[in-house]
Amino acid sequence: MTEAFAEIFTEKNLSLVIKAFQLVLLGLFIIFSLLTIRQVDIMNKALVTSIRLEVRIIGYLQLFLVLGVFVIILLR
Amino acid sequence: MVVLEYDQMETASTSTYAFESQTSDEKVVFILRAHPVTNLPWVLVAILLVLVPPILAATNLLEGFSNNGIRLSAQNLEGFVLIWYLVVFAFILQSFLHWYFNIYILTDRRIVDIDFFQLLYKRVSSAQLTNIEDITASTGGVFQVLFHYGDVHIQTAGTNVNFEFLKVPNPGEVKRQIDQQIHKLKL
Repeated sequence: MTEAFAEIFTEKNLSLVIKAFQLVLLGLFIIFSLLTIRQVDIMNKALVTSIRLEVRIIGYLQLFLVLGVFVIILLR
Repeated sequence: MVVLEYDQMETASTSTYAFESQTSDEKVVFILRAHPVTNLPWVLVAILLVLVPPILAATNLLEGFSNNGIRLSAQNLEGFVLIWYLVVFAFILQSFLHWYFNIYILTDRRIVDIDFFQLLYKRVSSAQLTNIEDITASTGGVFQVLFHYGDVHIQTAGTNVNFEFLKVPNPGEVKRQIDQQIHKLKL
């Protein structure tokens, strides 16, 4: 039983489990980034400032960074 | 619309601002946010967080995990480092947004307090200048005295919400400006 468990729990499998964990984390991060974009929209609506466009771009930048890291980890 | 921004009050830079519940004939006197120096704690935390992966790598702390039987592949480690920096980025963005958009507004008719907390919660409170009963400006502590910022407590009549302009630059001048607007309304 212990040997069978050890066979399943090889270094390669552990690496896959960690990769899956990282992808789940990034999935949650994508949701968070979408919420941040919505948050920025609400803030920009509440107060119109001279940097509203820049703040919006940074909100989207976060989403694209998260998506980029998600793809990098997925494809490796 | 010309707005006095109190974090650069001496230079009185002109910017274009408007807020959600503003009426067409309502004139903004100033827009305030917490003094920039109040950002120092989160900026220091962010710098420390940025330095964590290089410090871990330089001190070989991760080797300790491998010796205890947990062996992370290089790809897994790189993944964690990338995720770490995304978290730091999000922390910096959230901290900046909360500082920049939590504001206090004085118009020629009322005071407005716009608060954002957590991710999607917003609270807008306002009070007519005619309902203001008492204004107290207070400064205390080394940092507040050094950087000239403090709190302004505004008491309103009856059961209306009281206002607190917290950690704002030059609280004495803020109090003076509010008093002046109230005086103008009474004339």
